[in-house]
Amino acid sequence: MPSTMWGCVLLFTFFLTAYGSVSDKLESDFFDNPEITLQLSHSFDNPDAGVLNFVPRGSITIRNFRGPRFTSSQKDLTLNDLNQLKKIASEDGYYFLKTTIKTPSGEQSYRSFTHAKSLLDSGLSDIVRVNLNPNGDIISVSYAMARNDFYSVPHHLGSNRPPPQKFNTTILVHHGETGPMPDTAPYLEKLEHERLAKERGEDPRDNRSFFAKYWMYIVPIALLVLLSGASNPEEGGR
Amino acid sequence: MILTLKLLGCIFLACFLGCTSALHEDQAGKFDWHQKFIGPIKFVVNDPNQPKRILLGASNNVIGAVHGNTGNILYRHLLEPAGKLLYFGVYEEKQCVAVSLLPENLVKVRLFGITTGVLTDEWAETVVTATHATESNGKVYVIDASEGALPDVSVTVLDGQTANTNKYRLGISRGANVLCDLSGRYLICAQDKVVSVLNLMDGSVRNHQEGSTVSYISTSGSGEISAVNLGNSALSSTYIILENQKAGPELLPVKVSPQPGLILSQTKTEDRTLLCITRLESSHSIQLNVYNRNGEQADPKPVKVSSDVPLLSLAIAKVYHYNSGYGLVAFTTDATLIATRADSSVASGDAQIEWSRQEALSSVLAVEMVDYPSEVGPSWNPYQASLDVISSFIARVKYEVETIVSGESLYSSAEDRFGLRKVIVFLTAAGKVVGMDSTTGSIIYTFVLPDFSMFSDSTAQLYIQRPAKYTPLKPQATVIYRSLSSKGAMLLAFDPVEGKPLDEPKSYPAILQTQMIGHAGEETKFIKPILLLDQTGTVHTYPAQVKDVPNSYFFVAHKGSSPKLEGYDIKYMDNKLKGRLLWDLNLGQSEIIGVHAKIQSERVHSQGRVLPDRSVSYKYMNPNLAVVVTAEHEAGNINLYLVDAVSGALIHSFWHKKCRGPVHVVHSEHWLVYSLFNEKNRRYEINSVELYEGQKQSNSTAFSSFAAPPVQPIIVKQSFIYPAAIQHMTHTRTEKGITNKDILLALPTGGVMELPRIVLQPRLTQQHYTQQIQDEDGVIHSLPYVPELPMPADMVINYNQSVRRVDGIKTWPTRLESTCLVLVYGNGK
Repeated sequence: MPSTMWGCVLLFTFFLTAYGSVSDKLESDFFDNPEITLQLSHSFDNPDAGVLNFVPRGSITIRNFRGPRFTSSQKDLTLNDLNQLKKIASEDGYYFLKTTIKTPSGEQSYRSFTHAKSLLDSGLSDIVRVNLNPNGDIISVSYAMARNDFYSVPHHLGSNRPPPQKFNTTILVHHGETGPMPDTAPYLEKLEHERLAKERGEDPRDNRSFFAKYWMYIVPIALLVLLSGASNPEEGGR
Repeated sequence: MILTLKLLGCIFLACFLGCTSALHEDQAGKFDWHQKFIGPIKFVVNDPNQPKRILLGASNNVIGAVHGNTGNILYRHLLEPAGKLLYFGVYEEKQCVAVSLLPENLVKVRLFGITTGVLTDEWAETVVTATHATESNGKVYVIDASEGALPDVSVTVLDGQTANTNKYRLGISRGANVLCDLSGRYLICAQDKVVSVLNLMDGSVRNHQEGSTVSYISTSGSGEISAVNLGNSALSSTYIILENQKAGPELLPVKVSPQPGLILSQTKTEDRTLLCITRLESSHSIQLNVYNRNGEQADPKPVKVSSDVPLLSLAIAKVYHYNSGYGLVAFTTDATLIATRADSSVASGDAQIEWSRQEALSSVLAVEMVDYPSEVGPSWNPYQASLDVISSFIARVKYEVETIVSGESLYSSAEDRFGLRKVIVFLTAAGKVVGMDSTTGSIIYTFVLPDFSMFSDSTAQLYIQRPAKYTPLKPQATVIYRSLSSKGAMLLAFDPVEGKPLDEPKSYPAILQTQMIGHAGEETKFIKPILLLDQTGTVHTYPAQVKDVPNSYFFVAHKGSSPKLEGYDIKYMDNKLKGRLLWDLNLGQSEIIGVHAKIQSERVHSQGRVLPDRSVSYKYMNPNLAVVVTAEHEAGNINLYLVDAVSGALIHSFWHKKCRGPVHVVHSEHWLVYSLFNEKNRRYEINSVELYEGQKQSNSTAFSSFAAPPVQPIIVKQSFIYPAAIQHMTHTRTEKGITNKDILLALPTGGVMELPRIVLQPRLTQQHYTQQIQDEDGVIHSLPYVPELPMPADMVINYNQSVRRVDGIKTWPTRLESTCLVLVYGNGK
């Protein structure tokens, strides 16, 4: 019985590895990628107020940048918030998102925004994109909408479709790459190859077939053979 | 192409059709011109053997000689661009000496043959630091009178073999606001009312008390008479310094009027040396008075030099004696070198300013080009289309009358059907705007901007608000600069063809960012509005009647030790436009070394690239994409960020380890080419990046930074080795964007290399390259990747017209597709 249980655990672990989107983590990842929590807070644009008031929206914990694997815990939008969002959308205002990340060196926050109307049109399906440098440190957080057809796609409730209240957040991780470098190795290899081939007396560019290359020697010999062969029966006949 | 080169005042213009068409010998100079300048002149001396030869030294480490009759350059040497010229003068009759201070406090002394300008000798010495230098009896005196060391002054004497340093103490107190200058063998330092004079030969010091605060010092320079004029904006006093073995240098007052603005110089006649005192009498005349070495007037009647062009104020005025008359060479504060004709100077007669040189063109801050207003060219005129028949007719008649009145030279002739002739508008560091005809290089107008200073990052802006195609409406150009007195921003609109102001200068509070909206409508008479975001977040517009600016965003890059990018939107509230912070992006501990956006008005002909399998890869052409380059100096890294300037999204980033700048970036269409120096492999590299949307286009009509889901471009990149250093890099432009683009590279050898962009296109490497691909896909697109770029000599577009110290290359499309004007300018810093 205990052995069966271990088998189940092992099998489950296998699935975790295969489908990285399952939000759990393996022991080894803990050391490679210590988990990072994005504290999200949002603000509904108020043209009269000079300073924006950010209220907590929830948090997203990224367990592994590969995948990426993350867990999201966000509060639903209250009806009051939703009404305010609709009001802003009608005035073509903005929805602001502040992402705060605690790092060993201190707290870092990133401010981003979208049009309130786009947020409603997306049905609160948004994308938070985390940009990393080659060392794996976060350099910026970008915010975008995942779709724009929430109201236009057909739904079984028709136009009475309830407005969205649940955030459906996707995390994308973008790894900064080291810039391109001149790729000299294959080119030098090719030059070396050509040099060696020349020393051996072969021209590597001449890839014609054997016959195509030496027909001028083969044809006269063949003719000679044919001609001499043609004269032989005469002799034999004599 | 028009290539204007500002190197030590050097402008080169070339016009050529098609790509990489080398010039034939008989075409040299037909489509191009080249102008040379010296720079901000600091030293003016005459060849003692031939006073007509005027030797000039400029503070940007350039020396040269001009002819006294014509002002033509006889010879010119561009010394190290990073250096500073401390002294330039005659050395033992037959030679001239230039003393330059280079980085790391290396003092370099060079001797040139005075008639030919050939370098005859040079030596170098490292000093602690140096502020002044002079030469006497074959020895060079390098003086450190820097603010940190005062009142101690160290004098290093160099004679080619040895260097001896002596320290002296002046009679002034420690601290700031000390003015120092050299007059012959004496160092004069003034602080408040105290004047301390040091004899460099024996180290004797004498202090002197002035009646009022000294705010400027002007001296007679090197020579037998050491004279000095001290004063402030109201009063001045002039002294001749006499040698006194016991009590130190003595100040002998000269009886001249105590007016401010006296400029001293000295000249040698056959038998004696004379002190000349020059004063700007009115904006059109200069007065010269001559004194002997005892401070007595030698010639009772002053000489008057009149000028046709108004003069602002003089910085240097050098009087010389030639053919028993006096000649004058002067350098004005608005960087113009003016002079009388050496041959026409007569004994006591009054003289006339005969030639002038616009040395302001040696440091250009911004360049734009405008077409001449012309009937030929675009047949559809949006302005005339918006008028009814009668007003259109009246406007046409008015325009024709104006054409006749103002003369034909202002308007392009019917021969210029291809729009090759333009007005080049230069905004210079001296605060002068210069208009130039692009076909001949002749100056059409100049004017000085009132209350001019540069912004803190040594820039000022120049915009073309209305191009010339809306005749009879006049074209409009606008300069934005910092006010010297109020430290706020100033804006002046003018007609770029005639050089006449179109409006009063406007002043604004200190600003954070400016931008010009890319489209213009009838309501502003086709003037593209300029928006200025000030530091309190208020947005000002020019013209002021613009009230609503939908879909406009500001992108601000804060430089400094922890740079930050910010985005603002613009909203109309409480009767004014307000900028509100939308997003920010912190770039960490680094320095921003460049922000490169695309040229908004540029057209892209093709939306995609056809691949060998006949499918299309669509280009990612985000007009809001900006490239921000940062340098981490400690780690030696160069980072590039591709930022959407509207949404603030980071599209991509490139990180280069162990690399350093300067990073030259060319950003156009869907691609990016940048150069940097790889410290590890010690070579220059050119990197090429292309961005594609993929096989499907997200939106075929317009690009939106707010698209949902966001467009993530596919990045294709490759790197090449370039076998030479690069001083500047830009791309060619054509009217419709059909012609393949070329990259123009300014090389330190003085050549401007034209490299087809297609050579830099990321391509297959040798391993993946097959014969079949070449057969399928023509020749050029499928050449295999070769890491080193070629440098064929026939791709140098400026043949033997070398242009060194290039600061910028400006390209401009003409009405003839495949032809573009190239202007190369340099020699600023």
